[in-house]
Amino acid sequence: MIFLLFLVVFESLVKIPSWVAVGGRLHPLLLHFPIVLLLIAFFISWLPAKNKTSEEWLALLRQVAALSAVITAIAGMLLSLEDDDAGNVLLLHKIGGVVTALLGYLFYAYYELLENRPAVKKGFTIAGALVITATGHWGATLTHGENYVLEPVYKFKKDLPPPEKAIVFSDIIQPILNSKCAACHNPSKLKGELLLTDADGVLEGGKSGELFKPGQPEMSLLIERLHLPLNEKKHMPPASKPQLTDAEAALLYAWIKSGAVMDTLLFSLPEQDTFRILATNYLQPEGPAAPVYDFKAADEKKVKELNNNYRVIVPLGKGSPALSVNLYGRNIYTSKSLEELLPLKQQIVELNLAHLPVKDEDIKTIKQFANLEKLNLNYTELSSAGVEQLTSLSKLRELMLSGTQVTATSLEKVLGLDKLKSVYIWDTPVDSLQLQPLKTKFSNIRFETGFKDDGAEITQLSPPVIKATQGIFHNAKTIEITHPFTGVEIRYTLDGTQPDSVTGMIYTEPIPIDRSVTLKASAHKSGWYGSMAAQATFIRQGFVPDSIDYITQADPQYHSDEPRVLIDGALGSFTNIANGEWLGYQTREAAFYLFFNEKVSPNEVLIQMMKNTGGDIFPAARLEVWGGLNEGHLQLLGRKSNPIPEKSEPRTSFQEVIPLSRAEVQCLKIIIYPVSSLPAWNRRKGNPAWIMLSEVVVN
Amino acid sequence: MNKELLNYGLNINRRKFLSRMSIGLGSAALGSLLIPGLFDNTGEDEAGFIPGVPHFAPKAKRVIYLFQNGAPSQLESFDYKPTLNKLMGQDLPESIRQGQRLTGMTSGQKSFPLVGSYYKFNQYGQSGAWISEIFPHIAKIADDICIIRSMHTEAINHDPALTFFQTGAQQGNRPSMGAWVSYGLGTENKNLPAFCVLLSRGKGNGQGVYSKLWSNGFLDSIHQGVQFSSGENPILYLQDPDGMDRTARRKMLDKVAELNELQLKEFGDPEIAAKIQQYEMAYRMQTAVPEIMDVSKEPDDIVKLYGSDCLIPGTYAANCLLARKLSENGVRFVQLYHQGWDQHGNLPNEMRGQAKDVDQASAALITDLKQRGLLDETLVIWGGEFGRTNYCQGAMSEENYGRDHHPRSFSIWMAGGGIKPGMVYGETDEFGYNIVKNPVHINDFHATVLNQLGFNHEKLTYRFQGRRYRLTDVAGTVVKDILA
Repeated sequence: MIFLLFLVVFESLVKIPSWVAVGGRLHPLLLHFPIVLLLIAFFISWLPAKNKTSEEWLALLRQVAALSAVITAIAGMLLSLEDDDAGNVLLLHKIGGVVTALLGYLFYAYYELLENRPAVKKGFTIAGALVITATGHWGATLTHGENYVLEPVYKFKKDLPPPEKAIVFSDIIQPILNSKCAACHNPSKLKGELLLTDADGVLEGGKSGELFKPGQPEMSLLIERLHLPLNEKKHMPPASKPQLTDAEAALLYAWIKSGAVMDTLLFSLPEQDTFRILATNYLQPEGPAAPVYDFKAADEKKVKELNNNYRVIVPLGKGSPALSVNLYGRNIYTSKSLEELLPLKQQIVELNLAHLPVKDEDIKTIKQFANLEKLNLNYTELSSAGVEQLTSLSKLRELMLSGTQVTATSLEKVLGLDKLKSVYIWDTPVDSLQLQPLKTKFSNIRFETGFKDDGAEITQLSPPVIKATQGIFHNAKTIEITHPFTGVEIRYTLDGTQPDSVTGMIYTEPIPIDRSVTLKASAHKSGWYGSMAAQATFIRQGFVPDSIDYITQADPQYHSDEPRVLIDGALGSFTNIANGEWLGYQTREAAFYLFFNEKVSPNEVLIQMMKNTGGDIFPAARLEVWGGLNEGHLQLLGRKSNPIPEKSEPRTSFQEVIPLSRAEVQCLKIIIYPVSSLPAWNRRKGNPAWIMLSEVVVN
Repeated sequence: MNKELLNYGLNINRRKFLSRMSIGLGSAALGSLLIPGLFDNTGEDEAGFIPGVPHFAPKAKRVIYLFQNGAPSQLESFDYKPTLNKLMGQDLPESIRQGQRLTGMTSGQKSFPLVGSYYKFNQYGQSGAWISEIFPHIAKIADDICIIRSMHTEAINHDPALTFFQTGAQQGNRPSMGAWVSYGLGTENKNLPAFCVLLSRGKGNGQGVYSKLWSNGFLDSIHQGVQFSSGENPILYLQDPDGMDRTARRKMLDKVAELNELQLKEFGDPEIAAKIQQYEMAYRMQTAVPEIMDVSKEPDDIVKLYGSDCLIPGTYAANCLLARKLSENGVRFVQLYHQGWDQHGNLPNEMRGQAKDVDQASAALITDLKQRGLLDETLVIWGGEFGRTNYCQGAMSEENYGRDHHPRSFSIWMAGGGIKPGMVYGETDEFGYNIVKNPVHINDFHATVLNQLGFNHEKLTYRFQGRRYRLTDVAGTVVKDILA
């Protein structure tokens, strides 16, 4: 206690050694003990004493409390010696601390005296508690800055001004300084003799000189201190204090760079000014300024109730009273769908009715949505007369009328709307000649007329679509051809020749066929080049064999578990040749019998094969068809041999057709020989080639 | 079995209890500690986020993403580098390459000869943007688009790069951009999925796209992208089975819904609720989808505009037209992929074909949206997953060369949706290798897209496995310079 008093008296004369400073720095830790212990001691002294034993503990409590108060105060004095400046708050805190320690000591040492005078005791404890509170508050102000406790409340209550109204210093710079610097550089603390709580102080600078040179952030002390390494003693704010955010630091930099103006309106700076851009963003952290509406939000329940699968009502953004409404479903829409929205007529600012059968009589409902800013009526069934009635929508900014029957005369009537900025009239009867005077008269409105085919560029049509799956059919079938483009003429041939806009038959209805054909069809339309031909092959199967018997087996790599694969009426696909739709032979010929329960007289045998020379799949070298009433009595009915391809050929599937000499048969034996030695140009020359077959058709 | 059920029940109850608690009054104070700003209406967290309501009034309501899969060369499209033509054949200086890693495809290469564009460039529009001759239609809309020449990414191979672009992470387990948008904005038309995917394939060297790219990740499965195919049934399993009419279908769905409701009550699993919604939506889609797919009612001008390929299902042009129709009908996110842009070799030949596939239809989409007044509210994005090297991969001649993968700089363009039209943003060095001005990272790109849709990318979050996830993870800055 005496040491403490000594410190108080001779404060200015004491220079402390470094090891003592450590003790001083424990002050922020120690201070919690006296606060709690003293308050408990004060509090307990108010309670009626119950028995003697607890009195001893209480005496001990008072002793410890007093001791801790004194130690804390001493540590505080030592700490304060480190700080070379003195603010009012520090002085108050010091006095408070010493008084607290003194009161604590008195409370312990002279408790006996107090005990006999309850009124004095109560007064003493109340005063003590008040001194502790005040001292604690001053201490907290020193470390955390003023208004630390209530700051969150202030912060959220205080709205940032809109950028267009912001004053540079008071609305942007000062708040940053207040939040990050003013804890130390305020009138009560004044560290480094620098005051950052008002414009004068900022301009004046502190002990180390002026804070900044306008236009030269690199030469400015303020910027230098902010960007020193964090562990540097001169870095500001001190490492233990909240640091400036990147955005704040960038703002200060840009502010000095652009001249460190003070009482100027932010928006009086040039639009390209970096500070102006940064500050605008800083003041609007939530993106672009939302439009402000003066109407109230609609009843949430009502909005929810009116929302359904074909009518979607959503607020423009969070907290916005304005609503955007989209309607969908041509078949669901009725005038009622719109009328039901009338309870929200104030709030609806965007309405999308595109592609719905909206008629003129619905306009009377639409007209009531007085706050409409954007109205999409693309491809609705409005007439010109209907459009004219939109003149009462005084807030309308954008009007979409593409694909409607609006005429120039009716359009002109709506264009008078003050706020109207954009009008969309693509695919309407309004032509460029009629539009010209309107554009001149309403120069503030943007007219979007879109793309109109002026015939300057002629391009090719896409081919038609042949709807039937190509391949094998029995007896007869009809083939449908379509084209998704209306007004297209489809021409076709069945003999494999190329159809064009004059040759070939015009397609009017599905084509009946009862023989094998190669269908080619092309699309034609004026203003377009005719399309490439779509092509499909249809193979008629006359005699379906009743069974098949293999003489040689396909290679295990390309075989099928289904013996009828060659007579199942389906052509093999290309996606994966090992999918069981193709039979492959390499080291020996393919040979099999086809049996018919009834006698037949076929004209030809057709074999669906594959060619892919890169994969060593070659056309067969030789094909033979033998026929007779049973396998014991066969004669050669037809044969064919193929030259070996002279160069690599791309992958295709094709049909080998073998004409037969006339005979009544119940059994056919077919033998197909692969090329036995690959030609010299092939990588595996000399090896046998593959043959692949997927179907055999007898006609 | 009984024990397992009991365990499951207990588990569910605990989960229920915890989730109830988090909204209960008693935990509100605790909640406000964990989630700063719960009470002060600044919307600092997902608690203040209402699915379907953006943080602020959005510029764009919908996105159409024309993904050029395989990575088209920026040097033959939008980043004009005449220096490369002058230095043709010279080795790329190490001072420029700066140790940039190589792919396995060129790491064995002894030299890195610079190669200039085979195609000519010209300036177009008010902005004077340099665009290559193989994109004549896009050149015509130069004043409607914003070309970003300073994109950069972290991945150097297709799959991670593509996954990064689509989900914000290189590993494929996160929700796709479209799923995030669906989660954030909700559906605009309840008769169609909020997120649709359309695929097409060019003739050039292609790279795969996988369904993980349109995954909902940890988000609710209703946000998953729905793939449309080009066949007779654009959406598989949507049509009624043979012999079932609409009434029977309705009855069946009602009964199934009843059963599902019972399950939902008992177990409270949100996936059951999602299932019920999906059945219902599929039912409504049965009418909505055929209407959308029908292109026969499109006026002649539209077919001329997109090119008649737009009538052939499965082509890029058809997908662009379909994208416009879906978008016009309130689909939040239409994701296209056009494959075939991976020109490691034979670039001059292949790239012309690829460009022909997409040029007219891409430009047509912009024009078409514009003439309907929809471009302002639809954000269209065109670009690949990374760029291509300024040096040649493989054998090089004037007429034939290839380019390897290059993550350090590439070009994309955006249009509509509140992006500044007629702008060229960012710059690469004269070698077209490093960015020298205004780099835009994938995270920045995502942040910007979300911003246009009305979201603060830092606040559009979803809590999963103990932490909040964002599309931009822990990075990303909105590129404010390109905002209109």
